[in-house]
Amino acid sequence: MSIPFTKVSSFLGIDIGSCNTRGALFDQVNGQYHFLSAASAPTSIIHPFRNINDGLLQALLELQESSAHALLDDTSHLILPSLADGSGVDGLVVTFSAGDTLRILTLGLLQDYSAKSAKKLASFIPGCQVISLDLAGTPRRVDQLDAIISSEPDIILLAGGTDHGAINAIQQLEDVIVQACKSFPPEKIPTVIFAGNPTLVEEMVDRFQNVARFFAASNIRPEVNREDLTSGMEVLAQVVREKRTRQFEGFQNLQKICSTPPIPTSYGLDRIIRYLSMRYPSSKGVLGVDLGGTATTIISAQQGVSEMSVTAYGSGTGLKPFLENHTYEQVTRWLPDPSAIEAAPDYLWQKSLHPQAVPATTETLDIEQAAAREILHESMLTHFEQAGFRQASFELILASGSMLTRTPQPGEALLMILDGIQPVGISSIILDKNGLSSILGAAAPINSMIPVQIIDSSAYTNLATVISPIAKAKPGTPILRVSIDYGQSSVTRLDIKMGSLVAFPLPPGQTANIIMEPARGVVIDPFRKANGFKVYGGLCGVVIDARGRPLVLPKEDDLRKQTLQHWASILGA
Amino acid sequence: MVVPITHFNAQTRIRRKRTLPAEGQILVRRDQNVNAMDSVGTCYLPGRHEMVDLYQALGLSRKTPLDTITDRKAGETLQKGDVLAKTGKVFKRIVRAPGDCYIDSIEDGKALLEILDSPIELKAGIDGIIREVTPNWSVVIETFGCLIQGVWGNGKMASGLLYNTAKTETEEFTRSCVDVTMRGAVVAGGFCLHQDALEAAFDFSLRGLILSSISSHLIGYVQQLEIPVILLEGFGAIPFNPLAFQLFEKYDRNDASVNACEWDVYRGERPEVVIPLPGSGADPREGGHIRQGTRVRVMVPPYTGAVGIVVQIREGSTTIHSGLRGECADVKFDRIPTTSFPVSNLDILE
Repeated sequence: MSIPFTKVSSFLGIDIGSCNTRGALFDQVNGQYHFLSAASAPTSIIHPFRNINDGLLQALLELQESSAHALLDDTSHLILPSLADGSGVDGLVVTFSAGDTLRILTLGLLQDYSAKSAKKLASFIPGCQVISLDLAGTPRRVDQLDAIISSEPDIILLAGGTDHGAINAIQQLEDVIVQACKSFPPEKIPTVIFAGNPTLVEEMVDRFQNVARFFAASNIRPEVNREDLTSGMEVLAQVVREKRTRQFEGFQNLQKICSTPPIPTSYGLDRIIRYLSMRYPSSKGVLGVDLGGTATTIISAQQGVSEMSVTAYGSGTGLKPFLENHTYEQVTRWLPDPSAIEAAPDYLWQKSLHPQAVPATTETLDIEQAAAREILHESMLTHFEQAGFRQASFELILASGSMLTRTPQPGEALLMILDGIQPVGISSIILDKNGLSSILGAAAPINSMIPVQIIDSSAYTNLATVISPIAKAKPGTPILRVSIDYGQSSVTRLDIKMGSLVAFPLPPGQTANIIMEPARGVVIDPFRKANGFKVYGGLCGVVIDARGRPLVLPKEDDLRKQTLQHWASILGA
Repeated sequence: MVVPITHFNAQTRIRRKRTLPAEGQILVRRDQNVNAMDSVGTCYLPGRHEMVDLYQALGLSRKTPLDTITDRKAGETLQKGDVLAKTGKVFKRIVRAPGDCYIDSIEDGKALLEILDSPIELKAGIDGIIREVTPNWSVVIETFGCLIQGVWGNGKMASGLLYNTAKTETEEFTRSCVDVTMRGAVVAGGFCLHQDALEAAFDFSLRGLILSSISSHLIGYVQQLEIPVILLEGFGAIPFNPLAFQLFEKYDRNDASVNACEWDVYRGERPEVVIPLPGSGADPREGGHIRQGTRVRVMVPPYTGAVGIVVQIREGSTTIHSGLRGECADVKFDRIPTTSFPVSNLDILE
C-alpha cells in the first residue's frame, strides 16, 4: 500500500543503470527534505541472474549500512510504508536505463517535421537504436514494407498529419505497418505507437486490434510549426516499461510498490534540467550532461523548455559503437604519455567487453578520461545539430555519470567537462556526485518540494565557476585583466593571456567579487553585459578558460604533451 | 559480490539450446546424435515483397471480375513459375510467380507477394545428443566434455581436429606457427599482433582459430574472415591463462567445435570451444561469489589475463593505484606478487 507522496517523510530512489543499480535515501526533518546517503551495486540483469533483485538487494544492503537506517525486513523485503520505530521508507521512485538494445523504427510524413519529431522522441530512450524510414527515398509500398520488416523493430513510432491535416497518406502508411506486423512471428510483433493526426486514432485502434499492441499519443506535431512531445514521451515510456518488464524478472513487483510508475533515467534528468532553467531565467539556459555506461544524455533547457539528445556512446558498452565510428587519434590526442597512446585502442576495446571494470592504473584512468572527453564532445555536436545551437553558453552545467563524478581529484572532472563541452561565457559547473538528478526528476511530479529542497542542499558538488571569454587573438596576447576581491582587503589581480587556463582558489560556500576588463574585441559572455559580478566558490575555485573555442591542441607531440600536462597541473588533475 | 563464471572446465555436462529466428521446421528427433555442423532446424526469414497488378499484367480492365482470372488466395505458397493469374480466351495471357513466394494478400487485383529466399539452417554447434525438442522452434543438445569460454567471437561456427600450436602460455601466434599439416584443423595459438598470421589461417584452409588475444587493429580483418575466431582473453598482447593452456595441451588432436558467437551478456550466449569427451560430469555453475579461496582472472590492466586465488577481501573501500576507491580483493599468483584489485575487475574461473 502506498502513501500519498505529498505526505511522505522519507523516500527511497532507485536507478537501475546498465552497470550499476543505485539507491538514494531521503528524509524529511523539520519540514525540509534532506539527502541521507547513496549506495550502489552491480546491476544483475545479465545472465545468469536475469533479474533486478540481486543487484537491488545488494544496493539496499549497502545503503542500509551507510545510512544506518533500516530499510529491509527479516525476509529482505523493503519496509514500505515506514514503521513507528523509523525503519523503512514512505515512498519509492524508480528510474531505469538498463537493458538490451531496443530497436525503435520511426516514420513520419514530412522529413523536416513529423519524421524529425518522431526520431527525436525515440532518441530520448537510453539504450535504444533509432531507425528512421525515409519515405521520400522509399516511395514504393513494397519497399516500405521490406524496410519495416528488415529493421526488425521492437517499437514502431508513427507520426504525421497536423490536427486537422493529412489523412490519406497516413492511412497508406498504416496499411503498410499492418501488413508488416502480420509478417512477423507472433513473439516478434512490434508495439505500434501513433502520435499523429488524432482524427485517425479510433480507426487505428480497430485496424491494429488482433494485429499488434497499439498505443495512441497526442499529436507530436499538432501544427506544422509546433512540436509537443509531452504525451508521446509518456506513452513511449509506458511501452518501454512494458518491454523491460518482460525482460527483467522482478521489475513488475518493483513497479507495484512504486509511488509513481518508473521512468527512463533521461526523463528524470530532463525534468530537473527544465526545473533548473526556470530558476535561472537568463536566456542562457541550463545544460545537463549524463555520461553513462551505454549512452550519453545531453539536455539543454531555457525557461522550462528543453531539448534532449541521447547518443549511443558511453563509458562502458557504449565504447564499442564509439570506437567503431571514430578514429583512435580522436581519443589519443588527449593523452600526453606515449605508452598510454599505444595502449589506448586495446584497453578501450577490452573495457567495452568488461564495462563494470574500473581503471586500476593511472594510465588506464587517463585513457578512459580521454575517451570521456571525446564522447562528451561528440554528444555535444549531436545536440547542437538537433537543437540548432552554435555555442555552448549556459548559466549552469550539471554533470553526472560515474566517469565524471568518481575522479580522484575534482580538477580531473572539471577538465574533462571543459575539454568535452567547451562552454563559452560564464558558467557554474555542478557535479551530481551521488547520481540524484534522475531520481529527483522522477519524484518531482508528485512532490515538487523534494527536488527544490535537495538541490539547494549540499547533496550536489559545486565544482567551479568558469569564465570562458570569446576572443580571436594570437596565443600569449593579453585579452583580459581580472581582479578578484575576496573581501577584507584581499584582492588578486591578473592579466589573462590568450591560450591560458587560470584557476583562482575560492572554496565552496565562499563568494568573491570579480571585475574584468576585456581587451578590444573580447566578449566575456555573449549573454551578459556587466563586467563585474559576484562569483561563487567551488572545489576548483574560479577558473578562467582562455584556451579559445574550438579548443585546438598543438600538433607537435612534445608541445601537445607539455600543454596537456600544464592544464592538468593548473586544475590539480 | 555475485558475478558470472567463465568456464575452463576439463569435464562437465554441456547443454545448449538452439532456437530458430522464426517459426520453421525442426529436422531432428529426441535422443538423436548430431554433429556440430549438422542442421537441426530450418526456417524462412521474412523475404522482400513484390506487388503484382494482375489486371495491368494481363492488359484487362479493372471491371473484370477477379475470380475469372485467378483462384489464388492469400496464404498460398507458390513455386517460381506457378500460374498466378490468366485470361481464359484462346490467346491466353498468363502471369507467373516471379520466384518461390507466399501470397500476403490479393486486393483490388493487386497481389502482394513475399519472395521466399533460401531457408536458413540452424546448426547444432556441438557434437551431442538431442535432449529436448520444441516443435517448429528449438532443440536442446547435450554433451559431456571440455568447455572453454571466450570473451569475443567473429560470429562464425565450425568444427575440426584441435591443433595446439602454443608451446608456452606467452607465445605469440605468428605466420610460422601454421603449416600445411593443419589444413582443416581448429588451431589454438597465443596472442596475435600481425595480420599475416591471420592470413595464414586462410592460406592453409584452417577450420577455426582459438587465440588468447589480438591487437585491436585486427578486429576489422577478423570480422571478415570466413572461419570462426575466438578470443579467450580479449585485446592486446595477452597470453593464454594457465587453465586454457593446460586444456589445449591436454586435448591436442581431439575433435573440437568452435562457436564464435558474439558475447550476449543478457542471454548468456558466449563464444566457446567444446571438446566432446567420454564420461559424464556435473552442470557447471553459472554464477558465484568472489570470496577467499575463489580462483579469479584479472580482466583489465594491470596483469590482464593473470589467474590467481583470492586470499583476502578487504574491509570497506580501498584506494587503488589510479586513485579511485572501491571494494578490493588481494589475489595471490604463481609468478607475480600478491596484488590488490577492484573486485569489479575480476571474474571467476571454474
